Amino acid sequence: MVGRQRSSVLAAAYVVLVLLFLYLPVAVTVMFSFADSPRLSMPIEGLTLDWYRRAFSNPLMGVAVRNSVILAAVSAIAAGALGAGFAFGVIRMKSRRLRGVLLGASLLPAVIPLLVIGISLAVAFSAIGWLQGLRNAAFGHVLVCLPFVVLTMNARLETFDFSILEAARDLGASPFRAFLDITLPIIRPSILGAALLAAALSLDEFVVTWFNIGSQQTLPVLVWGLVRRGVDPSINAVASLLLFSLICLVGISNLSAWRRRR
Amino acid sequence: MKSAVEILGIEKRFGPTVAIEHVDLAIDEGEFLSLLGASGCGKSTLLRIIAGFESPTRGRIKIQGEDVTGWPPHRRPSNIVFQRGALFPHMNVFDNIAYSLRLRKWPRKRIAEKVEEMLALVRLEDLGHRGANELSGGQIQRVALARALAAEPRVLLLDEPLSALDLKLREQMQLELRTIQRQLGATFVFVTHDQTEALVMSDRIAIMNQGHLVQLGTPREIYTRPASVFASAFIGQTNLIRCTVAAVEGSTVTVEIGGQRMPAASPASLSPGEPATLSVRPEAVRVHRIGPEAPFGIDAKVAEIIYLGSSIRIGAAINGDAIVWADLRDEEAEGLTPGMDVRLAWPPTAIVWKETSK
Repeated sequence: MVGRQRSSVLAAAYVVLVLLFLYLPVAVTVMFSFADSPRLSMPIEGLTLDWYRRAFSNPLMGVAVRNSVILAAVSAIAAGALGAGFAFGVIRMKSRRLRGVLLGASLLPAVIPLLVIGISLAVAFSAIGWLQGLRNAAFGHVLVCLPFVVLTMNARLETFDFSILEAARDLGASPFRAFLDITLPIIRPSILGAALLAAALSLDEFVVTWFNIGSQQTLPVLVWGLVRRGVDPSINAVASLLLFSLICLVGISNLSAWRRRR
Repeated sequence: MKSAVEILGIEKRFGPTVAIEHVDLAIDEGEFLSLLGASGCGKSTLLRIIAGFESPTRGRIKIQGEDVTGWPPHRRPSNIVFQRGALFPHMNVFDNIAYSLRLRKWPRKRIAEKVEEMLALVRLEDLGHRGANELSGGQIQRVALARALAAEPRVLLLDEPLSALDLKLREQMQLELRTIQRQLGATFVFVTHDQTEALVMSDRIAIMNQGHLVQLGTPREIYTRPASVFASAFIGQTNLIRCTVAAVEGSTVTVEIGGQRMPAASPASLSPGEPATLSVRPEAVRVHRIGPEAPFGIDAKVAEIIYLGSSIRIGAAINGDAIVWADLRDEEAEGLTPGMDVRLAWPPTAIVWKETSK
């Protein structure tokens, strides 16, 4: 009995340790973004919003936020539409093997190192004479997000009952009408969820962005630049803001998928 | 009588596999026709060809005399009830039923009237506002039926619509479907793998096997005069007994079973000495005790006695080998014990086929 209690205490301690390892660095960052001492040391004496103010007074900050939002929006729309269309096309294929191959091929970029993707894109763009910039970065972001959109959409479509489309056709709907009346309303929440996921992935994308964006800024690129010049506590503020927007995006994304399942 | 649906030389191949091999079938106006067969026999494919979801490799489909072979599903005057209802999950019952009418741009009031009429027909008057995923299995199939009938099809196609329901509900829905079909005088083509269902509901049954139409007839014709060993074994229960043809005299044949002779009827031409299969229903077999009153028949030994409630099933072995099953009433089986010598008799209408016939 005693042995069992001890082992359950050990197990609990182990779980706590793992969770601390996962969340402590993030928690420290958020905490210091509100601390009023410029030296990152404990104990924290007072709370302040100065670092947020200072982050926003940086002239590059506005540009970075704008670019990050543009890239996130492009990723959400382009990767969302392309990925949903692709997943839909693949799931309707009759050959199970071909389906597996195509799905695998579309998911592979998710495990290709970002460094490789970033360099390859940079080389490819320079070969066709496209100068580095927001446009090139946007292509990179869509590429990075697409596999995750395909994966989410495919998971949703596997439980999609295609006989309801046949029912609509049978009752007099043209293929396009059936898509508008039946398919779209049913899978819209899933597409929205996948698009928000793409936006979240885009927002904190750094490696591929850095190789392709040239002299432009995004939030992660800005943070990287600030860190190079020594640790400025306003980085904590920028990172915390990024974290907050990501949590929101992923939260809404899951919520829309969850509402669909109910 | 005018044909509602004409299936003319339909053939369907999926790559190298043949799903349907040259089927000809005319379905009458106002008829309840069942396509009956085991899974993979091609019955559902045939239904989907009529509905327009599959195109035949060869052959034509006519609906009320009009050739619809190349028409897409949404232009065909047929409607289908799917196996699991396939209701639109994001719509309520009313909107599901109204879907085809809205596509046809009927005025609102007329749509509402038609939907009410359909709901009354399937006895779901109060469920119009219920969501499609808040219905029980039986309700789903009723709404699917109402939705298909609201489109006023010239032929209603039903793809095993009751197979997902439990037995009690299924039996009740069978009768309901039959009543609705009679009431409307509509043409129903009903796909099922359940022979009892087909017998209960149909005006005519078309039995399919491996892509072929093996027999077409009324339930009674199919039960009493099956056209093949397959049909006799598929519809109801039957004893299939291996035998040898001993003598042939017109359509009457004498067969030898374990050295003993019995007369039988044969639809095919048989010659003496040929191996054959005899089919006799368990309820046609009588079991007599050996004695002076015992009629002409085949001697056997009681091997098994199974109590079935409404009847008692006796298994009797001929020469310790082939078991013949007989369904007896309680009092007929009285006194029979395992190991007892008995004489089996059946009417000479039992049918014999060539060994090889399918």
